[in-house]
Amino acid sequence: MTLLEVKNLKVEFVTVSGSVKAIDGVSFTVNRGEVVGVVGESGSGKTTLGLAILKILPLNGRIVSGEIIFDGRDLVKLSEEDMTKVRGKEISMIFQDPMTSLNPTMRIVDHVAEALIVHYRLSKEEARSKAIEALTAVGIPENRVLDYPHQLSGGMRQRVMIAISYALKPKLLIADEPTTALDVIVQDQILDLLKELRNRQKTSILFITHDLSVVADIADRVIIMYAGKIMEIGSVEQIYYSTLHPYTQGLLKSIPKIGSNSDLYTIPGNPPDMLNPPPGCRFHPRCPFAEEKCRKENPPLVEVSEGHYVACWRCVK
Amino acid sequence: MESLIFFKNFFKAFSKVRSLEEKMLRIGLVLATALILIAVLAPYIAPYNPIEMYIGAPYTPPCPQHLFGTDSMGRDVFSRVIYGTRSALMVAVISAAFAFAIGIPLGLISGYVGGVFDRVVTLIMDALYAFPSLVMALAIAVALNPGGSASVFSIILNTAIAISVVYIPSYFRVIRATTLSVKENLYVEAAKAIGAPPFKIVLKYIAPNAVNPAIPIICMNFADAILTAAGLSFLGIGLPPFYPDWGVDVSKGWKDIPNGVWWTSFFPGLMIFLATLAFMLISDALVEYLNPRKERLRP
Amino acid sequence: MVLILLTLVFFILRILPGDPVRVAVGPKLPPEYVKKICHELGLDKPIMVQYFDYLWSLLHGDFGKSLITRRSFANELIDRFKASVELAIASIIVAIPLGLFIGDVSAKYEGSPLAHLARLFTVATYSIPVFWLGIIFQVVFGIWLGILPITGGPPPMVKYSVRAITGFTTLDCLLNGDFIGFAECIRHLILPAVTLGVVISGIIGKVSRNALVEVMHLDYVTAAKARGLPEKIIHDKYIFRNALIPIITIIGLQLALLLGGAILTETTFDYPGLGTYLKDAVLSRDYTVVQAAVTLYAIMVAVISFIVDIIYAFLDPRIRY
Repeated sequence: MTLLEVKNLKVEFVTVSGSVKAIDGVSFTVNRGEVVGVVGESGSGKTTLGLAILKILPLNGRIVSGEIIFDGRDLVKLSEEDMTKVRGKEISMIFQDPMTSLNPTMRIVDHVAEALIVHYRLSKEEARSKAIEALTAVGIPENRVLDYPHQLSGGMRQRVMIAISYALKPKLLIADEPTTALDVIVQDQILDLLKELRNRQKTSILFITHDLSVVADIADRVIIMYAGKIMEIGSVEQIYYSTLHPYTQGLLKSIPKIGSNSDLYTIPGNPPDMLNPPPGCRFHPRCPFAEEKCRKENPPLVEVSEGHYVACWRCVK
Repeated sequence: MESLIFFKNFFKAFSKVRSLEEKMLRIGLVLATALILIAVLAPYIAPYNPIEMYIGAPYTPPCPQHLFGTDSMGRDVFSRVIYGTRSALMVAVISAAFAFAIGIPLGLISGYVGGVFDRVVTLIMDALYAFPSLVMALAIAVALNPGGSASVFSIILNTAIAISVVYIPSYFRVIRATTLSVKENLYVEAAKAIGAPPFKIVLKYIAPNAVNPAIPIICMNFADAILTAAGLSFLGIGLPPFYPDWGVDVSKGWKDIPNGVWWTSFFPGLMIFLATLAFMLISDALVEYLNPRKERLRP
Repeated sequence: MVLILLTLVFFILRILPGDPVRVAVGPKLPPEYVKKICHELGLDKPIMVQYFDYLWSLLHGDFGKSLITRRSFANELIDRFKASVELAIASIIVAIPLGLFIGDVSAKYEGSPLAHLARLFTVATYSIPVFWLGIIFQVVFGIWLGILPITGGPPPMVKYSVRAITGFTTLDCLLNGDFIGFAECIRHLILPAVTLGVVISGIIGKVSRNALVEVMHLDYVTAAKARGLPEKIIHDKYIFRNALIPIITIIGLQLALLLGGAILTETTFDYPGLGTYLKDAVLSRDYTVVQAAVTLYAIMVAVISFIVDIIYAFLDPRIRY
């Protein structure tokens, strides 16, 4: 059953040097209880996607067109007032850098309790006890709940962020590179925590990352983004074992493997300058298979086998 | 090098986005250019001799013959205001030059050399910085101007020196901070490793980086110099009463107010305001432009 | 810091050209007489001895004697200082709400015409000559509308009729139940306080705008928005609270400057505060008085920065002393 359906979403930023189409016609769905990975390099528009769904883009950014249908409502058309009721309670988000995503002048328990008071109109005492419950559920010892953020480690702070989501019971959690800033052992713990959250509360997760191996661990389906466009969508198996898009192939090849003696593969070239993206397929300047058509026309995203979508002229015959 | 790129980007931005900064910068530049032109062309713009008495009847209100009216001695206020631009800009330029010439080398050396020298200089600069600037300028100006028959230019020079002393710490702080951060860069380390003399390192690698942050300070220094010089004149230090100077004129005209004569103090004051505003606008726009936060976006 | 400032003042005043005593007593007196005065004031001793004498007497709360009147001036100084305190408090009461409002508007509605207006206000107040602003207020409110007196400071009638309890005339009126005198004092305070307040509000506005904008773009504010918190909570608890430190700092600094005497404003309004006193002392080269006034200022700076540090610790859990 579909929970979120994004249709032809376009987001642009106005900068000093011109306007940037950070997301250019993106469509995909997220089903209930499903974990969808969004993979792309920095600058591919994946973080913007998360912010756009919640409509909390920075001041210079705006949704140009498209629909974001969540639980039967189009969020793009929703008023700001109604949006605040969606944010946190129905869709919540955790961020890349746990060191900076908590208010330094607030105790951690109040971060959770405050959100509960706002969304569930609980009394202060109720909210506090529920907050402590949520914090201990994500593995924060009870004697630390009165700490301020600076007294906690990065992993602990990310747990606090998850505890807020845990307490609010949203239908969708947008996790924007939640493990990138953490060291490997802590990364695993946080991933396990997110899986547990999904299993217990049937929360769908939109898991944004640049790391394909993390996605393999947690996601059911994967979306590959490049320069504001979707390159490939498929189940984890489809993406890993019947890879179609040259960009995805490049990404997979660049994962280091234990026991391999060959040099690490890197995709040649650099991500495009988003102010003047290349015409045609965005990936063609770096693509080993680029043809004349790729330079001129943008390939559409087509379904090549069940649930497996690719935007590449080589796959459209 | 970096300052070149900065200017290129700056003018690129200048031509494309009509932001508030750009507008502020434009207004500021136009005002500043106008002021410089007025100062240079004063004899051609001013209709009367600014110090000639009884050109019109005393206290003539603004009228077509005397745009800004006349003062108690029947001097033309408009002509005095035009000529007043000269002393104001002179003080600004001289004080900026002094403060620049002392503050920047001191900041470079102090930041680069470090150690005891740096600590002592920083301490003195911090104390100077904490000192109420007007009191400081006042004390120095009084001490430098022994009164009596000093020439007008020497009075202007002394006022400028007094103001520059107040401003040296501002240059010093910024330049020292930049030097400290640039010093850590690899290319400086590399230059040291190949045995470049410290003098060359500071001049070739560090000084160019310190230029950008100094630009808004120069503009602010200009603005503050005009304002402080006017304040000193208003308090009656420095220029003799006959000399056309905005601060002097405001302090004289101020006494006419109870008699309903507002124009003798209003127009010179307005000029102080506009002249200061010109450089403040430039400085403020530049500071905002140099702020890296503006460029940040999430693509 | 206080000591460094004092040392600096002491030596600067002595390095500067011109013999203060010569100037003080006038050029016509015979040299022997000048020598006698110098001896009386301890000015013939070596400079280091003078310096330590000076510090020693300061420690005992002795500001020394005026070079001009050759009398102790501590009472006059304190009196003037109290007047400046009244003006400082009145101005800061005007400046804080106005400044915070300006800063808030220009941060909150960044990019809108309203914010631009607020931004221009801060630049304009910085550029405006305070004495000229004061004169404009005098003309408009004192002469054209005729509703406020153009001179500042407690009127002598009130000042000398009221029984002094604290030495702050405005407060004394209130304590003595003299409400007419109190109203009169306030009336005389309004124009200078508003003049200074407007100028300072620009500085507070500018600093608070920058601080607020800085915080507004931090991740935890985005995270708070993502959590669906209402605007008011985000603004008060997330943005404002965390931007307070630089704002408090600038308010403290401005207050210290005000307590040191607002020379230009006090001159414009003929206000009998520390500023006009200091101005007269500088003009007549009464260096002991200048030193004393600066000492007072340095102590104010120290006291205020101490208070500001305490406020920091309250505001930010990361700061502990």
